[in-house]
Amino acid sequence: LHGTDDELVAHCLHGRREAFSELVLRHQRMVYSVARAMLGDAHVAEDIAQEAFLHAYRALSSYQAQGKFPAWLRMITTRLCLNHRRDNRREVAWEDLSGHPAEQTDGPESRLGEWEQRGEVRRAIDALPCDFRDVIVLRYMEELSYDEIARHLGVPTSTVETRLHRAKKQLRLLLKETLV
Amino acid sequence: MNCEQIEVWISAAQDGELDPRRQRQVEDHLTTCGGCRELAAEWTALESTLRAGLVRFDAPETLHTRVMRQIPEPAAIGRRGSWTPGNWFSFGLVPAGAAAAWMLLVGHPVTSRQPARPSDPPRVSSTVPDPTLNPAESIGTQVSVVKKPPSTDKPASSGNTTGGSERPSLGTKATPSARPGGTNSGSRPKYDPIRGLRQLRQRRRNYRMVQNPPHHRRHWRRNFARDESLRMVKGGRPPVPVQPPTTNERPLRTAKLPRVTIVDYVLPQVPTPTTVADGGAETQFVLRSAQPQQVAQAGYEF
Repeated sequence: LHGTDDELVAHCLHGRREAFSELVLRHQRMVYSVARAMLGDAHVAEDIAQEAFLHAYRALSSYQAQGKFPAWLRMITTRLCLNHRRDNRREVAWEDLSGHPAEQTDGPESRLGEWEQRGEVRRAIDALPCDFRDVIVLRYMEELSYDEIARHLGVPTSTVETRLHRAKKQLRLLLKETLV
Repeated sequence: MNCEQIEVWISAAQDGELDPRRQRQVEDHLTTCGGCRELAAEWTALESTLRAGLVRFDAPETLHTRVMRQIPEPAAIGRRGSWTPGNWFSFGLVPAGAAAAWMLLVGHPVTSRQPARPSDPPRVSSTVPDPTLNPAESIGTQVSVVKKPPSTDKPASSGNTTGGSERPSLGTKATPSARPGGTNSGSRPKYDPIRGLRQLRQRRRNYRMVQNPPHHRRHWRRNFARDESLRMVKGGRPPVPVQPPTTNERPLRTAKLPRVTIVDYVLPQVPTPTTVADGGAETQFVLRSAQPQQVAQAGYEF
């Protein structure tokens, strides 16, 4: 199946199951990444991603076709992550870093430094409080605006601005060696 | 405006999230303050580092399978407006089935169980001796002879019984219809709508009685059920069956006692017992039973 996300949603509403399969293939990376970056656990992130797609499938009739299906799906994922964090009340560290250069036999050696820097960044973000981590992930991984982050997290825009500033100040201290 | 106030707005200004007035204030301050320019450069380097380090994860291969396993098949959902034979038989024939059931329950007595009305064609029953039987054996034997109504299509001259093979013509005589509105004894009388309506009401009443028996019918079942197993037990507990004696001792009384009813009794007329023996006065009971001899033989003791 080809077409825009809105066309696939229309096919889904007419009972075509393969259209939703195509939507899952298109956006599973985004959904899983947001869940894993916010929660920090690969297995929990996979469960949350599955639940997000099922929520989206049940709520397809309420989706208004405006070309914003990824944003709508990201909103569902973010809310599920916040609910999961609220219910569990515990912080989970990122236990592994995918894409290790040692596992890539044909990768160039220059990617090793990139992976190390990426690991440093993730560890630094992991050390942040969850509120700061959320705004950093949504801002620099998902490239959302302040207003969109505020809608995703359910907080005012000024709060997003403040959290971003404080998160950057902590990250500057944590990544001092990397930045130099 | 000092540097602490500007510091909060620098990153927002780099992201383009400030309004034009504040954006202009931050740009003016950066042109004059060297420390804030260094801070802005650090923010820029940090943002590029974060964008390089925060890349999306690859989704696990099992995620798509797990999601699609939870999505139901379209056939299970059932699209609206589909005309499959299964839908016909599951929903489309419900009114037809209800109509057929109504015809069986209500309409059936109309066609088969309705008693013969006086306006029906004359069905004359007469007692005639059967010539094939012995006269001694034919005593009391009743043979019903049904005479068909005279056909109006055929002329009466064609119904001549000169051949003698038609036994119904022997000694039979058509009785005139007792219906006052009947014009001819052989023709079908007019249908009385009032009588038909009464019959229909009675038929519906009987049907309701069968489906939902009224209170007096349920009371009748409860009060007149003589059998212990059929009698209603309070609390729904069935009667406990009598277990045979487990010991080898012979039962004291094997004969079944007749059912007796105490109709009267006389209190002892002892004014004041003076001795112990006087207190043991007997009370006289008057028993009544359908079998007084058995009562005497059984020897009731009180």
